[in-house]
Amino acid sequence: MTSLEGLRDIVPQDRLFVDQAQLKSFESDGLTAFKAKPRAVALPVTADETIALVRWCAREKVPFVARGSGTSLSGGSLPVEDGIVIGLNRLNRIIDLDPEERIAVVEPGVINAHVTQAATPHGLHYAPDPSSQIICTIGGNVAFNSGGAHCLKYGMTANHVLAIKAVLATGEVVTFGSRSRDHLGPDLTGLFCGSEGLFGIALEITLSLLPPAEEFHTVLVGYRSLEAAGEAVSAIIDSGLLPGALEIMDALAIEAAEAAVQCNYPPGAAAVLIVELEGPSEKLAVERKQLDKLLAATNAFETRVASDAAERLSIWRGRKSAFSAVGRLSPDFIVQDGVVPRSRLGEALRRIEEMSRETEIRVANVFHAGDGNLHPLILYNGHEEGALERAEALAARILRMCIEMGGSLTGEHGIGVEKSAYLPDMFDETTITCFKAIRHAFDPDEIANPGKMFPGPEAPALQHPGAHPLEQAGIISRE
Amino acid sequence: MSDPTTESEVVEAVKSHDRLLPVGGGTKPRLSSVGENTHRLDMRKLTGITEYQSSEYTITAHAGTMISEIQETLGRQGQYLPFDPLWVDAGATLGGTVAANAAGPGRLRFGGLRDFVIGVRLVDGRGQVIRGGGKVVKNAAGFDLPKLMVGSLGRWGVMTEISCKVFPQPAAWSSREWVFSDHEAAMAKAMELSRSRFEPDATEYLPTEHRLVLRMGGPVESLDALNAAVGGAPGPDQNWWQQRKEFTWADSSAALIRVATSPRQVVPLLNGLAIDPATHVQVSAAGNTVWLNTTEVSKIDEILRSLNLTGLVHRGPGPDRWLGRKSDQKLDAALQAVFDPEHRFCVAA
Repeated sequence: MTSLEGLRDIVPQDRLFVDQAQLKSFESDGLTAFKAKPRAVALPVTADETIALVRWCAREKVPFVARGSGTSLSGGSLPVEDGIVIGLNRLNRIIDLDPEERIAVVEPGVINAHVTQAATPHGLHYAPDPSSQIICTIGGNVAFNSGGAHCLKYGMTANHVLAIKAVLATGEVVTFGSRSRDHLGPDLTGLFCGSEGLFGIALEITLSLLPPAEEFHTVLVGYRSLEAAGEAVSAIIDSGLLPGALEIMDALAIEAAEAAVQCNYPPGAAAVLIVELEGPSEKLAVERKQLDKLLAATNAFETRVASDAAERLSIWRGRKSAFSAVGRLSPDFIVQDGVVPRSRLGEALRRIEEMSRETEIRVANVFHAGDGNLHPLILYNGHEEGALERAEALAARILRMCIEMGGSLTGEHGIGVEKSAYLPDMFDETTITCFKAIRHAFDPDEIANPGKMFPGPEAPALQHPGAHPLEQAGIISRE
Repeated sequence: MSDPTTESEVVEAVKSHDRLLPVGGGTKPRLSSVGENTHRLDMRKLTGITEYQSSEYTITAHAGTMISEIQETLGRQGQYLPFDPLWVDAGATLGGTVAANAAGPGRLRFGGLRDFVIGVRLVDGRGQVIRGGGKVVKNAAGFDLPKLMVGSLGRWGVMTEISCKVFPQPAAWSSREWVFSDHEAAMAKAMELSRSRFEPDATEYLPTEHRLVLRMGGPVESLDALNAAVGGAPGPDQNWWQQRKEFTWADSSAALIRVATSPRQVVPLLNGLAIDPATHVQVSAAGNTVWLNTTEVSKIDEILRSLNLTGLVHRGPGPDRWLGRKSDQKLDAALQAVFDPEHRFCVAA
């Protein structure tokens, strides 16, 4: 095995972990069902150190995994057994914040929410808002093209990234894109986003900022059936309104949220719908009437309109707590994020319900209804023999259903380790061969995050996990 | 061989030509001009909308489909392509629009082609059919090939089918305008508006007149109040915006060059151009794109180089398509080996 001596010349001893106790906390990420022990964890504090680490890996042909806060739900930052983890949390400078051009240039370890915090005094914000935004990093968001609750209107991470300076797996340093929102030539910035760490490590990311909406109109609606909630979504979409968010929770998810945060949603609801319009006050004055009229014509049994910012937050509190809350219903759960065409949401939910009944595995549903992005939470008890495997098998059936309906394996979590076996269900052999060739153009030795995205022998075995420590602490959630 | 009408005919055409370039409506002639011995693969018979359900906010069509047909179909359901595709009346196709990343003033609000292209089928240089992305608005599976196609100018393969995200169209539009004494003040206002609460969907600047024009969309009943609040004077009508997208303002015998800028780079560029009165300029999308219409291509090349900017000649004469700073990406060669190892797709330098 290669000696680690060379690494000691790059980072000092206190930022190079090699003993078992130190390595332990890096064995898993947000997908706790998988574990792998790295040989070392290096914590660079500068781009130059990061480049030197990658070049050392390239020279020695040692696999490396870049890691931010380790919140990936697809196992994207799962270590490679005996490889190196490059922890980027300390590369956390906001290098430039330019309010006039609406641009922030950040290092990969900057936490998502910190970008908005820094931009707020200038009347700006960073739009992509994955649920783990108070802890997840921009580097990880870029690698997995993270989403959030506002993707229908504002797009995913890639839509807000203008340029990337990166060190490729070969050690070469490249820059894609510029500060312009236009680009000439192929969009390599766009290709890098969502490449799941297989190309290299982003060192500087140029983000486009937006002014936050002036006003919101947030409505919580209770329905007696999931179907009725689904019909309301269709009516909204067909009306020509473009809501910033459109979320549905089913009865089991509501029950969990009530138990966790007493969100006081309409009692007895089989489903609640959260609709949020946003924009300049003049526009909203007209559109809110349109929405209220439209909702009144649906089969709602209770409709609540947030009259101020506090009420808006209280509506969102139940929704945002849903994932950690489900932890109270069950010792363990798996969450998927498959996508179906929006018009087939009702059918998809019915089929999930049937599968749940048939397998006697409880499934709670929370989803981004505007873009068809499901989040079935599959509940199980990891101490029960074979329970994890049965839950995984149900998850696989749900994913295959999404593909069969013309959707996608993943709306925002990425393929990672978790869904790599299903990639051939979505893409044919020629396309996967092309993906692999693209990877080789960036990383001919396959040392950058191997074992992710592509099916293969590199993926480690399932283990019974228990919740992520950060999840237990209520800091992160799985959506 | 006749022009392809199906994807398998595209495969045949790729396999039977050593050098070829897919061409749509030819509305950006410098991007579709080829040397001798290179076949121009006319894509205009591979047409038709293959999937459109307005409730999905997506549309899928063959690459040779005219954008005008797509816009008419979307318009009937009150939807549109928010990025303002260019040269629509002149006959632009969907494939050409993606390959050239041809977005107009409306890109300011929700982004350009990269933000709306969600799926693609293409025939690569080996004659293989590759599919990237999907047909749903949210998708994080696999490498983002649709984005790689945006601006690719045909170098990775022949796109045969493209899926786009679409949005509901605002019920009405209104324009406002301001005239300034200098470029600095005008660009400062453009940047101020694009971070304002008004969410403008387009902000164009005409430097010769020092005139800044803004467009907003929304419910009819909201526009009077929005106009009063944003200030300025009443702006031009839809015809004016149409001219911006069709470039009827530009001299067609002179070169039309597109420069990607950041808003702050616009004033130095305009000052650099002041020495050349023969150049007509339009600053688009609040200073993120500058269009130059000029007979002095080599002068422009020098100016762009001195400012470290890149330009792409879309129409008109000139020795070289790329001006100013050239991109030097070893990766381009590596990716060409992936998609087109035999260098079939002729893309002039």
